[in-house]
Amino acid sequence: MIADPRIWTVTDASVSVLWVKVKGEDLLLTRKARQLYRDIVAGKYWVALPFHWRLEVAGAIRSFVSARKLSRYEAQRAMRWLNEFTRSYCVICEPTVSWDELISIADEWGFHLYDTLYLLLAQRIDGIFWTADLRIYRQWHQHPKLHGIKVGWIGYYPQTGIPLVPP
Amino acid sequence: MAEKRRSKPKIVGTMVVDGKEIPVVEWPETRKALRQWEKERRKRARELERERREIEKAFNKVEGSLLEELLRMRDAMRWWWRDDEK
Repeated sequence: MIADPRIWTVTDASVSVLWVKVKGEDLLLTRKARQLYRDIVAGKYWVALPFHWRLEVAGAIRSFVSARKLSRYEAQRAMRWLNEFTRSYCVICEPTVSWDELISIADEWGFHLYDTLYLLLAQRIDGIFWTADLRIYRQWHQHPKLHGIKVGWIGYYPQTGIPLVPP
Repeated sequence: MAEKRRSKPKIVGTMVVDGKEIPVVEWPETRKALRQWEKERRKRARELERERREIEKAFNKVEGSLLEELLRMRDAMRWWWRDDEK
């Protein structure tokens, strides 16, 4: 049997939104998010996403529609594309622990439930969780006991080392 | 509805099962099937990329940052209870 060279990764919704927009976004983050996107399409990674990933992305796109910045048609088209992308390259995962345990872990770690779901998924699949959300990254950075879970700030992609000082 | 086959499988012989003679079809050529699958996969990836570029074009016309919008929504979820405490 030939070993699959691919490694598992979890991409945050904050990274995924950078796949469809450049203007108005941080150029470094966009460039790195695109690099990750190209690597996923090239088959370098297996991608696991928590079930609320779509909700987060759709929520951000929907707010553009409600602010009359984007047409409903374009928003629906973008969601269709994201769904097609997940079907082709990702697996959508349910919580990896029971809800009772999930609430206890979130409480213990001091993270929001949404963020805990990402971290637990990364822990379960032993993959790298890429995020553009500095709050999650900094909070994770402050907890050395959580450094067993691999988290990367997308601005550093593909470097996964833990910096002495977070960005 | 099931997709209609473009061509019939090639019958290379027969075998008897439970007293009945049934046709034996040609074993698919794995290399050819893999090549076909790769071709289809690349085609799907190209179509997906073309669609992404068009969506990006539409999104780039929008003022403001989608990332900031997402983070704003997240922060609202994270800290809603602090507003209650005020």
